[in-house]
Amino acid sequence: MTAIATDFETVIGLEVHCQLLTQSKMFCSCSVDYSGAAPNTHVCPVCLGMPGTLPVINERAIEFISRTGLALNCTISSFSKFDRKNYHYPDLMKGYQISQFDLPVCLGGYLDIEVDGYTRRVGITRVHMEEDTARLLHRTDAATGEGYSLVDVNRSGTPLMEIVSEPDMRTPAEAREYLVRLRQILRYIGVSHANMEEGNFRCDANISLRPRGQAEFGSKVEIKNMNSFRAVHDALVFEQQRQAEVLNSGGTIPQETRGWVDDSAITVSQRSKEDANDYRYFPEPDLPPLRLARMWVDDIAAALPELPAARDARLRALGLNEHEAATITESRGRAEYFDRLAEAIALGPERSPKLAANWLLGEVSRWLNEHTAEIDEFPLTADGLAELIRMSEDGQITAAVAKDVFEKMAATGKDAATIVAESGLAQISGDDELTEIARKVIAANQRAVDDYRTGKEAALNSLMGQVMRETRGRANPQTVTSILKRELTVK
Amino acid sequence: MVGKANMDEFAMGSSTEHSAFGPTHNPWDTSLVPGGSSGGSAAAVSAGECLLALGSDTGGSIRQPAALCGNVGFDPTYGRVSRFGIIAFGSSLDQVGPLARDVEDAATLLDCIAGHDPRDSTSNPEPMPDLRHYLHRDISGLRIGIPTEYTQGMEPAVRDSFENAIGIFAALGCTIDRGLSLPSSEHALAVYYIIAPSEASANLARYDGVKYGFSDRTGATMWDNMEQTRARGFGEEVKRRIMLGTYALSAGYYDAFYLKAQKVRTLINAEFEEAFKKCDIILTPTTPGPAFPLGAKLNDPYAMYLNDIYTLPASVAGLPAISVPSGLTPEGLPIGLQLIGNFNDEGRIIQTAHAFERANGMANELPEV
Repeated sequence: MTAIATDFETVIGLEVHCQLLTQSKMFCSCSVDYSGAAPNTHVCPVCLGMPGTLPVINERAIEFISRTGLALNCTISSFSKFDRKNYHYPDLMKGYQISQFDLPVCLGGYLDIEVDGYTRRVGITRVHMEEDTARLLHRTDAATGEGYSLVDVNRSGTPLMEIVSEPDMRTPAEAREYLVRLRQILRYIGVSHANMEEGNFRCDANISLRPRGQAEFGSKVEIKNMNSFRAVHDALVFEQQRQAEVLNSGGTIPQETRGWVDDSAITVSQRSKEDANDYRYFPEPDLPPLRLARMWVDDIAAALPELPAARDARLRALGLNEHEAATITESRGRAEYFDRLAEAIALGPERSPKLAANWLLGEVSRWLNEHTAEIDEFPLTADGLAELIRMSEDGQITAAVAKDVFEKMAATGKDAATIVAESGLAQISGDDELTEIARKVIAANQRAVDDYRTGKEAALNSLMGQVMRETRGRANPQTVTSILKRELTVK
Repeated sequence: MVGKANMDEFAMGSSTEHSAFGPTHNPWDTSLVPGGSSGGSAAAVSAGECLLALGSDTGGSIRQPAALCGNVGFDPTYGRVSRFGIIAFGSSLDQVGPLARDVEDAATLLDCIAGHDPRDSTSNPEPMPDLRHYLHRDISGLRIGIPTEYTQGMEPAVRDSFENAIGIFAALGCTIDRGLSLPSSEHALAVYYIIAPSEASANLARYDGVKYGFSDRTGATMWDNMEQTRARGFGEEVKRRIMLGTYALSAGYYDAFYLKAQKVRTLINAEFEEAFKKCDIILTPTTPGPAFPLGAKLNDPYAMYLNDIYTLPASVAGLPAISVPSGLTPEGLPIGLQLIGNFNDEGRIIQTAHAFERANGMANELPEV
């Protein structure tokens, strides 16, 4: 197994299909909000492929694919066209899929990924627009035991974007990281849910091996049927081992399509190159060429949000460490909450970002995990949370109380000042008040006092705990420590 | 609405003999074909069964039957009439148009059905002028071009009628240019029989028996059922064209056929564009000969295709063209005259055709049925 890395270089390219978050379908006005709906309820003559119907391009989908292309550093073609991809299958209502062949909307971009401390630039060959197919439901007749299939046309015509990478990845880990970063960008720019398990983000992988140092590619195998990032990674690991073993034993790799079988964690041959479809692409005569005005594209570029890589760099420049920056920029919602929180804390560029990061990755993350919620469902506004953080920072409440108040804020929706006032949680920092309590505790715990005086420093903690109990956690710990030491030394 | 007209299956044919309902006969002589594919529409108008009919024209399917049945048939500029609701044959060529007894009726019907439709992305955004406005107008000074290349297979009776028509236009004060050259037009037939079947091969892919229509479910597998459905459901001519188109689009043949055809199509368009700098209307016969006997060309597809040799170039270019009756053969069969206009110049076509019709005095001539 370990011989692979030395003998062969792995070459990987990925094709990602991604459903767009438009309201309506690619070529008709049917809603794409069919998740959970009864079969064949989101259909019309156009997406059913009825005779006499014609497609009309969804402008929003073109905006989304342009946005994607721009985020992936692609050139947006001022002139592109749609083509018909011809093949027969019961899920293909018209007997052809409207896709783009030689003139896609987006061409020639890249995505930088970081794996194990090195950066790899993965080229994006193209991003093109097409339509999704219907869905087949395979059933078995309970009475006869015979198999049959039903067609749910709801998905037919959903805008689908295909993102094709260059064969620039060299390890399964790089392939997974590419998918993670790609998904992150698609979610940032709001064009797709990009959820592989839900099927709105699908990936086929092309993988070949070549002797290290050889320029020419080996014959490639396409892998399909992978339903998670882990599956993509594992399938590629399996396949590079399988191909290396075949090559090492003097065999050759036929160009073919293989399917990943998740349960047994293997790939199996599905279709050889000879059996490959001839799709007979030709320009879609029902649609005029797509001409995108420069100004229209410029407007989309100007409206792009700050992308993950730029955000990550900015957060690190603010003093956050690699882990903090990466975790916060993982989702756009979290990153934007961070920005709002840091600004609202308003304790200067030295403290605010760090405090925002600590709270976001600490209490806020814990709360979200406990409630299995996303950041946009988090009940505290950045301003409200910032008030609490400031109260804790300037000593009005202790850190322990702050956590308590945080919970109450999330539960009741009340602001920090109100909760602190109502519950009498304000920190006691007054010397007189704390000295009185300290003396009472000292008087009541002679044994600990003796221990401390005979050199057992730890005994101070026990006394400290007693004071905290008396004050219900509201005492300023530093003040209590110095008072205790003073009182114990005086006698 | 009076009824539904017979036609060639999926509008593929020039004789209305390729119909599951049986052939349509020509009212002028019931042993002859009415032309096609919209032969039922032409025959119905000709027989006086209705005043107006609709037809669809992909390569001549309105004009050719109109000529063979003595009607006026008008194929407007590509995109003038929405294709939404029309069962597609050759999507880049298909157009709907009127068949009528005279030019005025044709203009009136076209006025009603033309206009932009947002559901058809290839629909023409230019508003159609009121065509009735172009009736009863003078055409003196109009420049008429006679292309030298449109002579293949022309029968003597057609030639005589055509020469007579040219004389009428000269008498109406038009200038006649007999030196107009459209050399690429002779390739229009080849271009058409690559592009239309290619588009049709995809357009007809949806008839697989899974969703609607005829469905053979006797096979052992889904693929058997699909194959049998298509093998048994489609007629011979339709299957011939699906195979032609599938072949023309296949890997290794695409460049030599489909792509080459698109390039020649561009050449044909460019030649028409040049021609319309020199003239306002291009005049040709609609067909090389009059109506032919039923069955005469059924087993010779190429001879059948040649019937559309004069109508195909305008279809390939997407130009508007009308067929008006120009005379009768010695045997008493109608002959059609084709007037091709520039893009969106339907007004001028109506103006010219109407002036010709009045001068020629053949409007509303119906056969004895």
